Amino acid sequence: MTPAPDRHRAALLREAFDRAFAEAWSPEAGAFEDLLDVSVGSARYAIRLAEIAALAADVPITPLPTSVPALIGIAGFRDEIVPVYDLGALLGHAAEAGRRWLAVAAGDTPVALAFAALERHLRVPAAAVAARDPSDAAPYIGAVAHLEPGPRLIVSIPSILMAIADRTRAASARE
Amino acid sequence: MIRTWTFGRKVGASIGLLVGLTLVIGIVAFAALRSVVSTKDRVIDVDAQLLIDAQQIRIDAVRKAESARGFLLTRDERLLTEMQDARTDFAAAIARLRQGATSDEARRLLDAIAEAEAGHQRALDAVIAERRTAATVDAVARTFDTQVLPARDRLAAAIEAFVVNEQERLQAAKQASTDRASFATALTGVLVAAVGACAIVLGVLLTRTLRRQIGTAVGQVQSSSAELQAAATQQATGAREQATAMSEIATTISELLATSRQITDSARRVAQIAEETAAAARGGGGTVEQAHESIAAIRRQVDLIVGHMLELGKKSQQIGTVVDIVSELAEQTNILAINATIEAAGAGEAGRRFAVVADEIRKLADRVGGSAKEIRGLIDDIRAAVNTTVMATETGSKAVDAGSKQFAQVTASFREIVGLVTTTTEAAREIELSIKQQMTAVEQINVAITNIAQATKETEASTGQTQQTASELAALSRELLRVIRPERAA
Repeated sequence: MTPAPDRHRAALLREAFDRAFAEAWSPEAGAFEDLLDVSVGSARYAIRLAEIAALAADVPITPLPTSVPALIGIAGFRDEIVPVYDLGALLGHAAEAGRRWLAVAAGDTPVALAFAALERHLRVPAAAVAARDPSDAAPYIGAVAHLEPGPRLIVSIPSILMAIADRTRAASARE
Repeated sequence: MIRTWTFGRKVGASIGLLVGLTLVIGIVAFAALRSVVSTKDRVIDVDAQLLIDAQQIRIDAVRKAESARGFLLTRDERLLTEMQDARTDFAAAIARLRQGATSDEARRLLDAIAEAEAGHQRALDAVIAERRTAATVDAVARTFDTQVLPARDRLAAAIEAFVVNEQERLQAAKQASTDRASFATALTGVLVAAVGACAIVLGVLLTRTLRRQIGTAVGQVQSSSAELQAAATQQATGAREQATAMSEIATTISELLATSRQITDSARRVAQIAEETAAAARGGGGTVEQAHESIAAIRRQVDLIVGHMLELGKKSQQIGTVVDIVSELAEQTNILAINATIEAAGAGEAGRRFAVVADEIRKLADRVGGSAKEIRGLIDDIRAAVNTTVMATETGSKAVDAGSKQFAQVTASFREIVGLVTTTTEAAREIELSIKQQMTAVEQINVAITNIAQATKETEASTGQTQQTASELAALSRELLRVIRPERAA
């Protein structure tokens, strides 16, 4: 026998589902920003949904012998071979196991970032997102989302892609 | 050897010796007396009789002469007869004298008397014959004087000679008898003196022996009486102590009797309580049996619960598997929704509506994922609860098993208690019976102790008498010692 609060909760779900069909299609563009709340090491970061091209889980990663510390291998994704970088290593955390999530960066350079857990999808008002503090020396952090219960650093994937490109070019130049 | 004789033997020997000497004296005196008596009898019976007979013939001769003279004077014939009778008596006396004569002199004198009498008679016969004639009296008197008187004088002389002889013999016999009696008297006196001396010697010897032996005995009696007195005193003290002890023992036995009665009552109560306990133990055993059966039923129910719980765990595990699938589907849906959102954003304005749908799908996937997580949590809670319940049930099952075993032990214990209580009941009854027997024995002992106490009192009293007797014996021994040894008694 289902308890009364659960019945009320089911009714609320039904109501919310029905309301989604009753409301307008979409709010105005730029009023909200979609973020992915991810766990990297013991820290929580946010990834802008607009900066990735795809999200995948449990994609097999083939280790690759390399001198790049953050490069953990390559993976096949939508008929392409993409290099997979450890997001934690890029952000300065210690290497960790169990990185089952891949976020494929948007752009011309196919790069995938691996992290441990996808906590949830966040849609925050644009006003809650602010530029990062210039005095902050953390790498690849583009902005800060002020959420409850505390601020959340937003990873700047373009800066990561830029750094990878710079390193690639430097390597090509050395060759 | 005589020194080793007892005093009684010595006294007996001495008395025997004195009796022997007295017998000798008696025999000697008897023999002397008989000799004297015989001598006297001979003097009286023979010599005196001879003298009497001699006087008798003198009388007969005188009587014959007087009868003849009377005839001569009167010529009476009766006088002649008397004369003849006198002559007959004379002859008879002569005959007796002849028989009694013991000497030749006497027989010769008797012959002379007979011859003189015959001559006298002849003279008388002649005168008598003359008288009968016509002769005158004077002539007859002259004849008488001439013939008869001389014959009569000769006869008288012959008789006198015989009498004198017999008187001499009688005197000699009397002297001999007197001499023999004197000898016997002297001999008897000597023997009496000898016996007296012997008696004195024996008396001295017996006195010395008596002093020695009786003195020693008196000393021993004194010592023994002192020891007896001391022993009697000690015995009296012991008797008093024994009487006190007997009294205490009697008191203790009375207390023991009271205690035995209390023990008997207690044993009876113990037996009664043991019987009640046995009944209660049997009831408890039945109750424990019922409880054991109930516990067995509980054990079966617990086993069923454990089975259901394990089944519930399996079902919850299966639910978890399904929830995992649902979670996986929700996650995949979420991935698809996010990717759809990304694609919709890449499609520009045309993708806005699709982005809304994708967002709703993502929200739905989020809710499904959240619900799946909740279900997962609930399932985990259920599994934890099931595990806890199973563990608790297993613990309870073990506790039930332990309880069942304990109940079995309790049942066995109750049976053992029933057996022990039965044994206790029998033992209590045996104790009661034994105590009753013991009470009987103790009562008998009490009677015996009472008798012993009475005997002890009597012993104490007799000990007092013994003390008194010992004192009297000591005094008697001192008195006896004073009698036999005055110097020591002083």
